Amino acid sequence: MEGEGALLVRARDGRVTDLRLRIYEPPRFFEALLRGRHHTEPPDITARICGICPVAYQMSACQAVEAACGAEVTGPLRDLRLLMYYGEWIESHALHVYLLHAPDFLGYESGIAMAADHRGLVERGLALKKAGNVLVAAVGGRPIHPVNVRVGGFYRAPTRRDLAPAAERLLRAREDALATVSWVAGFDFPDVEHAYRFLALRHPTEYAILSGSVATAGGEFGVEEWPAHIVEEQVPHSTALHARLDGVTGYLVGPLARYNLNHRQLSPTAREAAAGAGLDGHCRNPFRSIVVRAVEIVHACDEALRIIDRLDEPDRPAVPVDVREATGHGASEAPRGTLYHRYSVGPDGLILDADIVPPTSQNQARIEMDLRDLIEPRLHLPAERLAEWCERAIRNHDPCISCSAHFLDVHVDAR
Amino acid sequence: MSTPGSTVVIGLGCECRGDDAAGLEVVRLLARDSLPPSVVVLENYGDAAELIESWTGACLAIVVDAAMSGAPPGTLHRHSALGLAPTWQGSSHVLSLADAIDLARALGRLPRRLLLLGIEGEDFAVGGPMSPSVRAAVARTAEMLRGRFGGGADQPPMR
Repeated sequence: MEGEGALLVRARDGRVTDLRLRIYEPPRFFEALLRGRHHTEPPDITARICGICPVAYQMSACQAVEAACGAEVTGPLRDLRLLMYYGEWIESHALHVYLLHAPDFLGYESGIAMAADHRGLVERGLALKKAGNVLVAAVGGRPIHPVNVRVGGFYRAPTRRDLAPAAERLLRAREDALATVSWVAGFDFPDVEHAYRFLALRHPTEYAILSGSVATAGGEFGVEEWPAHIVEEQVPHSTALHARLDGVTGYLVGPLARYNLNHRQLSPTAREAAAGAGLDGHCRNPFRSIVVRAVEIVHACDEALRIIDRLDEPDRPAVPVDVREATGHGASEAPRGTLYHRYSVGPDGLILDADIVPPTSQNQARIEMDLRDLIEPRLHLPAERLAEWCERAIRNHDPCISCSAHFLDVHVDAR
Repeated sequence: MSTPGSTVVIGLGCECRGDDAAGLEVVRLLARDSLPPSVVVLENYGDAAELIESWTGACLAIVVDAAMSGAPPGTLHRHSALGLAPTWQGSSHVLSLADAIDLARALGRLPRRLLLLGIEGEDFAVGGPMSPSVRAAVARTAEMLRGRFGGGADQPPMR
């Protein structure tokens, strides 16, 4: 269940004295479920964790198992994985931009309320999302919870002909995405900036989505070094763990991190759209993440079209993956941030241990810091208005709970 | 998008959450038999936008989902979308079925008639099996729909 969250804010004499964001986080349950399962099962099992980003879970899972087994997926098979992932970015970002985030800026309580007055805009958002669905289905077999992915590649590789309808939709989607950038760039953004510590994957030749090393402002490290840098700790008010980067709590993953760290690798059209929207390579205003998401939709459409155009059909749907006793690490960029998987595989091919670090738990501490910064100067506002600001501050980062847009239970106790 | 005049039956759910797969299982059973050409059977894994796309233009849409109202497990709830019962509010899916209906209404994309069938679930645990009472209700519901469609006439299954 993506949508369960609560926020408790307590303030005294103009200062926030307690702030707790509670997030229900299913991956912990899945880690236990994975132990003892066959090494081929994580892509299918972990895809069920999130209805919004199953491809991210499949890709991180596949890469971790393949790393453990010494296999590598390259060439056209890797291109097909990229294609499916771009489809998921388009699906997820379009949903968030149009139905969850834009209503905050236009003064509507939900995307449904917005649709009554802005039918054409919401239809454009749905058309964009549909383009993503079609792309995921063309490669993955179906638009949600794709069934065609396996460790080593795919059960059946789609042909160029299979991808033609998706390409046709993507041409239109790219135009819609460019229009989306122009639209959201005109919103009225609160004048807020935070001193974020960003973390995102970095790839030598791509705006990293499927794989790469782990980049921060301070340098890079390999995905296999993740456990040495990222440590998760239990906090009493949430089932989500708080992640610390090199001993410091509160770093940020997601579109803002990707843009700030890797913006030079966006497609030329996406770079141009970003510049036109007033982004200059640096963006530390979380409210403007809606612009970055729109730019990433342009990039995803662009890159997907480029891949389809040049794709050589693979000569086999998957590479062989031979079992060996080892531990493997895999990470990819889910729409809402870096998603890390680690699996230890036994000599019999069964999983001995699993670790999944989703973007939401990495961002949780940072979201709480955003909330404190945002709330303190606004404590004089009526509780209802303050709650709206809290919801907006959380939605800026598209955590899993934002799927249930306005289900967030906000308690503000200010005296 | 559905062909005008057609009937679309949509099974909604998540197959990894025990009884939440009830709607999916109903349409899978239904799809095993030959149905009139004007009847389309679809699975949906919780994508509200796809749901709207599926029923746009349909004469009749029947959505089969799991429900959780406190009724005995396996109880079949029937509602017209015009009076959506709280049973479906707060769905575990990304945007709820209620959201999809409200959004479709705002966009003018509701089917001419929309019927919701909810099978009361008992256990929605991740990775769990479907409860026996729900499995039996799934079979009964598929049989009922098949009976209505199987006669060849494209009659709505119930009023």
